[in-house]
Amino acid sequence: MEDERSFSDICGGRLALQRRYYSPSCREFCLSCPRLSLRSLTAVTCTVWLVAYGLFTLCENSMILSAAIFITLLGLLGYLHFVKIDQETLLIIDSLGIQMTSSYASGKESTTFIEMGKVKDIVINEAIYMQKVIYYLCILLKDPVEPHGISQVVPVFQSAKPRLDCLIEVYRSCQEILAHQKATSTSP
Amino acid sequence: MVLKAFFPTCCVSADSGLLVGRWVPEQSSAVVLAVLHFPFIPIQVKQLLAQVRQASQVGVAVLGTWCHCRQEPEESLGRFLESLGAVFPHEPWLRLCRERRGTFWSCEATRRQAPTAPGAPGEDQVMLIFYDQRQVLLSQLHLPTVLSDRQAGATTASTGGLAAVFDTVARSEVLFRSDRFDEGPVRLSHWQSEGVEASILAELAKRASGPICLLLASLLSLVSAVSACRVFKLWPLSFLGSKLSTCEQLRHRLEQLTLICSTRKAENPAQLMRKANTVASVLLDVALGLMLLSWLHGRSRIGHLADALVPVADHVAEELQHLLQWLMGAPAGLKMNRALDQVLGRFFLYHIHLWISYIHLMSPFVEHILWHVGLSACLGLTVALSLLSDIIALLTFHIYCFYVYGARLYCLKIHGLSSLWRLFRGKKWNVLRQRVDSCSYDLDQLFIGTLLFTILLFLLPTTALYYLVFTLLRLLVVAVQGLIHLLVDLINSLPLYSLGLRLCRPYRLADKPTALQPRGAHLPPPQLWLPPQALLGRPVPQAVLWGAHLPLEAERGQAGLRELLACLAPPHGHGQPSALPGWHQLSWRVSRALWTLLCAPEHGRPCYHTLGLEVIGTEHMWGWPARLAALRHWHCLPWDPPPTCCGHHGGEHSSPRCPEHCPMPTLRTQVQRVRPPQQPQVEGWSPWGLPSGSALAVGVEGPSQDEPPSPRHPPAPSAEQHPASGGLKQSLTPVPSGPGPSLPEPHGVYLRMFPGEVAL
Repeated sequence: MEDERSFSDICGGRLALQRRYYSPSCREFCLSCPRLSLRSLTAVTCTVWLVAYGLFTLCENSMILSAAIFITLLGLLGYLHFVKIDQETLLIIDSLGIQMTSSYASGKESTTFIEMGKVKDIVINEAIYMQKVIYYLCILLKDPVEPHGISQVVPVFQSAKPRLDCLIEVYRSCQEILAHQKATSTSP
Repeated sequence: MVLKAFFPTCCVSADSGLLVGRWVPEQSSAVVLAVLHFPFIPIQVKQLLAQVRQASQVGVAVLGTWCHCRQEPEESLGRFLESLGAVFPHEPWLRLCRERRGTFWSCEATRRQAPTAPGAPGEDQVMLIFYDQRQVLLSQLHLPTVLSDRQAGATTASTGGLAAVFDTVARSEVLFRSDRFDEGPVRLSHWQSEGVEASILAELAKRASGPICLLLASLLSLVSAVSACRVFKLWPLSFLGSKLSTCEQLRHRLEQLTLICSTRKAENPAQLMRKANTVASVLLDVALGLMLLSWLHGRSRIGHLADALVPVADHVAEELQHLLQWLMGAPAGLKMNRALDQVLGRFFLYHIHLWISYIHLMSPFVEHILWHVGLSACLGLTVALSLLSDIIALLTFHIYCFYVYGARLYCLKIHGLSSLWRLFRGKKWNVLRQRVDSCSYDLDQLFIGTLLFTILLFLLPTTALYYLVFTLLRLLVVAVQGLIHLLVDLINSLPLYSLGLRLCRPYRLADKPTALQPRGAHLPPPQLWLPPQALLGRPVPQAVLWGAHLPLEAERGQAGLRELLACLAPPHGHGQPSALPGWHQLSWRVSRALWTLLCAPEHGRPCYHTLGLEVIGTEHMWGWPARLAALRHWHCLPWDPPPTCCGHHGGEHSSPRCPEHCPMPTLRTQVQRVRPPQQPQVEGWSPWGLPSGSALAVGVEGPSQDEPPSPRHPPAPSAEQHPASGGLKQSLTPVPSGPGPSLPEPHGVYLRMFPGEVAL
């Protein structure tokens, strides 16, 4: 079962949330971030080339222009491969764990997996981010020493940064699964 | 109930057969290790499984059936597979079936007995999880096979989840040894069924490495035995050896080679990594050295270098002469005292003249020396660079001499000035009390003193200028040498193997699961990090500045300390809480270890050494600069008086929430003087568990004190020991003042645990 809704992130950009409901114990949420806009790309390229042309008129060395082109290309490739995240996915499988995948614009994927035994809870937390107060969803991990302590807080959807309404949807589904897992784990 | 079945990706295309693996009841998961194909004889299968079980201690069994229908599904096969469930009884029985072209899979798990619990559902859901056997085995995420009993007991309770699965796969290597070319009674499919993965070169290297390592190890032991003989410990050679960086580097290289060629296998992955990193860095070093060698010896560059060296030295000497002429005149418009100027200038000029003649004396031999130095590059680029640094030091020896002269002169002048300034004001330095006292001088004393003071004062600019110029020159030379040493250290310590592994095979560097990381109650034994040799003997503030981060491990010392600590049992009573929190125990042990270390017989006379020490509590603090560590855990020291500190959270000091409740203790008031044995100690303040009445003073100073404590100048250590605590007594140095009447002077041992200074 699959459905898609559109939300907005904290800066106002459009996000698309895709929910896939594989079974009562397995759900997946996919957040797609806004694409790289042509306007910003053009603006950055023009700035770099203007600066390079200015330097060229000062120094009369044509190497500067080729260096500028080179830098622009490398910078764009590096940005697409290391910085720009296209899609963030959260996969919850009851009794196995939670997996978070970030896929970059160049196709690279980076995955983090957390075992269910380590997960204490999933909550929505507030944070002060520059001049705003934002909400974010995070996974609380158990402390192996202290039974009621928390060893780590893992934030989810860090680069998409959706708003509260999107987070509430994800939160509700995750809590259903966690409740289901706790019910089945306590019963023999 | 959801049943998890872990299925290897290599068996996805295997033919139909039986599923062989292990059932983990705690997580209701079945780990499939291999697929056993038809035809088979059940007796032989059971024998094989029994053998594997005995060899690997893993409970392998037949878990179910695997059906891969390449054509239309056959009815007879289905019934045959069902009847197998009777031959190999297992609860629950898995049935995995894959239709042709792999679009549909069906997984069923059946239990023969009715579920006993009333609430459990009758039908099990099966979750199929694919895992890559090869990567699981290579990434070593499983528990190490050799575990001490304590660790094994602690971890089996807390491992769960995937660690158990990985452990199963790793320990069943016996099952993976047979491949499909073996003529055994059964045919298995697993990740190595196409042939055991190995490389010819690696195998040959392993076979050859045995005797080679033996040979090299014997050679190296010979070399180290020669270098450890008594001749090298005599004064001139040992002094030279400690000063020249080449000897240091050669020693380091010898250690590295010994590590590589040792015939013992590495016990755990960390040691293996270390060995591999050492091999990689030695190889890189030697390769770079050989490149340098070939460059040097080609096209007679050595000759050119040798020819250029003497003129360069001459040029440097000439520049120095110009500099001195400038100083003797009116440098930067300053007016110098002519007479002193001329004296100093001529003195230094004479020195330079001597130096030039020395260089000219050496000039015929330079080429030979350089040629042999170039040969040393075979041992590695680092050795060549250290030799270069030593050569620079030797060539600029005159600059060093000038610096020393200038500094001594300046130092003398400053001392004289300060002393005469005190006389000018009518005061005097009281050596006994270590403070400035007023004093009445005679008139002639005052007269001469003031005269001398004026003379020294007006000669100050000249001396100061010479001092400044030569210090700057020396700094320049030191900076150049420092850069070379930095490069040498970089080549020595860069972990190339780990870096390469990270780039090419990142799964080999997986982090250990938290079950294996020591935490909490069993903290690691106290690690004392002693500073490098260069810091010993320095005055305390300087050591702190230099040694804020002290990375050198003292393994030998640690081993000795551990033995010592083992025989001394922890104390009880005397106003201490009976159950010390982990941090207290640790710092108590460390402080006792510290005391034994300081007073151990090998340290000889009780002179004022500085041992900067960083107490390593939890693993979070390893490698932290001492000041940060102090700020974080300062309040949790056992010297906190209990009433003001522990009341808030019942004696628990392990959490970092302390700063809100406990103010920074200022314990200086408690510990200025060592009380003689008649006066009892302050009650909550016997952290070392020594019986009260002991005169062992532990001075702990807060991290930010306004006035420097006057007993900072280390007095003679006098610590009296109560005869009851036997173990410590033997290791104490004899005390000049015995227990008796009250001591008027401040004696005591001032221990400053944070920020890592100890001044005896």
